[in-house]
Amino acid sequence: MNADKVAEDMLDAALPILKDSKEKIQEFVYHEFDKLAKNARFIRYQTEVENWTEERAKKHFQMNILATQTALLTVEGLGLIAVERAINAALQAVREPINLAVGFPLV
Amino acid sequence: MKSIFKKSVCLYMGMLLTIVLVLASGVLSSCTFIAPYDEKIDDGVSALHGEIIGNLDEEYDAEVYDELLQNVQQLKMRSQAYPKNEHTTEQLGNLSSAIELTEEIHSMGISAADEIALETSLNSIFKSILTLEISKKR
Repeated sequence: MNADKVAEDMLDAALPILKDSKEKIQEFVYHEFDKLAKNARFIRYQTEVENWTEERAKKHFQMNILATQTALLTVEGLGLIAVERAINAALQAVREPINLAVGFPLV
Repeated sequence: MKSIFKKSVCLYMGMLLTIVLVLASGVLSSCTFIAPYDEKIDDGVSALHGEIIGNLDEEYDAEVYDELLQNVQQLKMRSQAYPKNEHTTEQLGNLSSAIELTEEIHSMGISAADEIALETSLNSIFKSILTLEISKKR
């Protein structure tokens, strides 16, 4: 069994998944954070120009913070899923040569 | 007597080795870092989204909010039942807090500007929860 070839095959299987996931996560983050930043500006405008009370503005800002935290949890979860898929793809790619080499179903 | 003892030890060690290999094979075959997709959480969260956004146009009704909070609590309990599901559980906790804040704003009297800001925050929370849940489909 060629160890370099095994490592190369694992990398070839994992990298496209990580790249694809990175693009999807970036797209999600960009859209959500853009909307939430605009919402924060809107709340500030309502407070300064349209005379929202401090109490009302604080509640809206808390809502915005909750939305941001929830989006970040999604980003973290999507990262875990991406790593899981990449590892499983890498294992799948080398299952046959490794099992053949050791003579029993190890992977 | 000694030979029977030796055979038993060998049998025991053989069984132990088999179990270790099966476990090792299980670990190496695939790995999971996050709970599986749950259709009931997906459907429940989607239904809540429609209810809470639709409710913003209605007169304030404390009972409606009690029901919404109960529904989120049920989904949170379901989420907690899965191992490796802390992200979704925490998100549902955030949703619960967001519904409480929405109720507080609604009870103070709601304007068009309130609705715009609330819808943006709520839509983002729901989208985040659903994006993660749907991504768990394997």
